Amino acid sequence: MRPRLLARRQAGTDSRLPAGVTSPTRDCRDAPLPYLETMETMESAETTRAARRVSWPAAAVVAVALVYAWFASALRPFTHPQAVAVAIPIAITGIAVLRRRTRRTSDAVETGTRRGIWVWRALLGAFLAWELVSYRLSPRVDHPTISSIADAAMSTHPGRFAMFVAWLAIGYWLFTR
Amino acid sequence: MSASTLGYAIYAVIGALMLLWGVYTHLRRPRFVTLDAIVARMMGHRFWRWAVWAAWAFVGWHAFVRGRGAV
Repeated sequence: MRPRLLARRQAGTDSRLPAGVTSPTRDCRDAPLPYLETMETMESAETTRAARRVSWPAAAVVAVALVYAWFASALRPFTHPQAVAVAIPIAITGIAVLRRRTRRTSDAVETGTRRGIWVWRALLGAFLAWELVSYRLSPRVDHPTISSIADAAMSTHPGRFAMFVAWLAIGYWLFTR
Repeated sequence: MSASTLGYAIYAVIGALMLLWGVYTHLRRPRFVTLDAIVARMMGHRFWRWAVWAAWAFVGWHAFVRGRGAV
């Protein structure tokens, strides 16, 4: 039997009133409110629908970013055009950081759990330590760093384009948190 | 095992562990803190916001302006 029906049976009522309420005239402040579950389900469905809906402005921004990344990744390193192409997103995100206000400590994010944060710290520490060890050792062929691995991946235009898109996407993710 | 293979393997293991832990924390949220929540918390503080921006800018500049170009 479903828990709510069982609760109604135990409460001595088979009516459509919430569990624990035997009379519509009784004080039911402590009784559970079944319509809240329905509301939560509806809100969840609306959120899912909204998340799946892709707006035209968002699609246009993604298209512009992809085109920008394609042309920017075609430029040669150590040139002024390449420096400008990389500096533009850096400047835009810098302005976004500058305009952003500091959150108050009472925000919901501050009260979230910290369980498992040591795992993230350990993994990041291991990555940085290994990067430093590899950087200090030579030759680079025997001791690859992330930079040398990325250089190999960026030896073609599609690879460089993919890396540029990934860099932009990470930037978007970081500065919209 | 050559030194370069070991180097690639260690990066791969660290990357795989990060991915697995990221998926696990995402599935078990809010019991465990996700990377998204950590970043959101960091971006709430002025110092860390600028530190993250500087790190992201450095990576982009280092990879694309100072890195090796497409052949």
